Amino acid sequence: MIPNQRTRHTLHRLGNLTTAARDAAWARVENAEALKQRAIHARDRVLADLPANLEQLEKAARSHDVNVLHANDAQDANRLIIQTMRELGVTDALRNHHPLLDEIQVDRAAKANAIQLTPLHPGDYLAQLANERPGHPIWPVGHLTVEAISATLQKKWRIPETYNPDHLASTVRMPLRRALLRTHTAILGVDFASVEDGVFVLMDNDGHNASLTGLARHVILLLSIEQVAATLNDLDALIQVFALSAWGRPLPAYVTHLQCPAPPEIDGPRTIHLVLVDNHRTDIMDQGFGRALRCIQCGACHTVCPVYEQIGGGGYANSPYTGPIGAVISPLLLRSDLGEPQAYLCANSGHCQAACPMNIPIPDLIHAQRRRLAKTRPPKEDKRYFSIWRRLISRPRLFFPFIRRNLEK
Amino acid sequence: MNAQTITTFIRNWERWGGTWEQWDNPISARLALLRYLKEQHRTEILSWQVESLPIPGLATALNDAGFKLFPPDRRILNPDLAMGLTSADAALAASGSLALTPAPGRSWLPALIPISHITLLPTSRIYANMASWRQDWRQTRPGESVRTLIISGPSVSDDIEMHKHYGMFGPRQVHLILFHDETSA
Repeated sequence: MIPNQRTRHTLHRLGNLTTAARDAAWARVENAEALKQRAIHARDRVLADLPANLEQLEKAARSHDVNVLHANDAQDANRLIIQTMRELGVTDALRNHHPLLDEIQVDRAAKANAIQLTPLHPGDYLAQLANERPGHPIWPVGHLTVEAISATLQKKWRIPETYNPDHLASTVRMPLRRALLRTHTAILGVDFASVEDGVFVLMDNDGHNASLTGLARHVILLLSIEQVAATLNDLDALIQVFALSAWGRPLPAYVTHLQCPAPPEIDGPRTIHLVLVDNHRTDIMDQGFGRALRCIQCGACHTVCPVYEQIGGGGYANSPYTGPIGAVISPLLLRSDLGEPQAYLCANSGHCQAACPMNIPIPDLIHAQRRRLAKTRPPKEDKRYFSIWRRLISRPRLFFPFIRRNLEK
Repeated sequence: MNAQTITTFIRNWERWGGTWEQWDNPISARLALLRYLKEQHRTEILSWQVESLPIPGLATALNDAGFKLFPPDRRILNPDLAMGLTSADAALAASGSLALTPAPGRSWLPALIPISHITLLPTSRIYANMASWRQDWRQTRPGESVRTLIISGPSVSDDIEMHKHYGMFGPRQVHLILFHDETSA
């Protein structure tokens, strides 16, 4: 759905604020280009021989008593999660904020299996309350206005009318903190892993990942197979680049390193289960889109994109990967009806490539994606759309009401 | 630890919004802690085991002043806990961060759950950066598993129209009591 003017204003403001914070943070980094090159090299090095690196990671993880599982696709990943939860004898869990969890639609799978899965991240929690899909990898409700959030909380929880963001955040904070202190099992999307040491890294600024890692007795970690680095020093570069480009700060407020289950006398999970998720990533490399897997999901390309600024995350059908990078990977990761339309949501501004700290040639990859789709799709379909569009545009009495109705919602 | 590294650490710590005070010795730091706690009007503190805190005589001093330290037992955890007290395994000057590795009596939770977090930090634990600490760690604690929390400033969330809300899950205030210890002389 095309957002209304107020939402577009919110998206515009999100873009301005995040771009300014990111540019200022990068400007303070001594030798920023060298840091970016370190991160790119770290990622390219493991992608060059991903199967061998994953084998090494698996070996390291198993040596630290981590239960390693493999998921070929989303369905497989959900089956392994549900199966593990049943083995643990739990029917409820908390989850962190991570695009991979949205990609495999873990919430839907949990609901279908009568498991209560609560998102601990305030943005995800608000999105769920408002029946909205997360629209940005970092700010899931970045497209929602304070009025929309207030209206949701008034309706769902009957809170007094308030438009003060601090009051609204405090309102959400209490039930989430109570849920956190009762937590037993957590499902956590992992940001990065080091192959050499089998160390898993989770990052956040509000502390939800760090607290979950400290309090949950059992954790199920989900790692998409490309988010690995050879060594801890390589991970440091990726963490810094992510923090600078995602949040405009040199480091996240909390970086949690987790390697093995904790003995009873110290904090940390007693059991760790790792699900390595492929979900068509191997195909992405095989089809020549391997450079897209450099993506660290910082969301920098979203907020500079003129198309994203107009349509927000909601404009990308039901895809968990929105924005320019979503236009490259969604057609390869998702069902064709969900992913393919995204390849056409690009105005060729080139801003995404300039913003991407991992130097992914996003515009080139979008063009390559369109070429691939044009080859696979029957040309008749295109003709049909153009024929409808031609008829619409040549009839002002139909065209203008159509545009007005869609833009002024 | 050289003065330049300490200065760099403090500058970066301040950049995150952390407050700090620096003292010449552990005894002055102990007095500073008592004063700070009195100013905050809190008597119950979620804390590391007092033996794990790097200031001698702290148990008696706190007890005599009427402060009660609680271990982070799940039974007493509640969302309104106000004050947490820890030290840190290391402080990283390049980023102004604290590194905590959990061990018996040295839980992460006092640094994560309360509204305010106080850290007692001897200057000997300040390292230039993550790499230098990691190198030292590998030499002094070989084979020990990696379980580390790196903290850089207070807990902050900006989910609602990018408005910064401090203390969503972790502390909204982080206060550092830095002191010179014998090994840093």
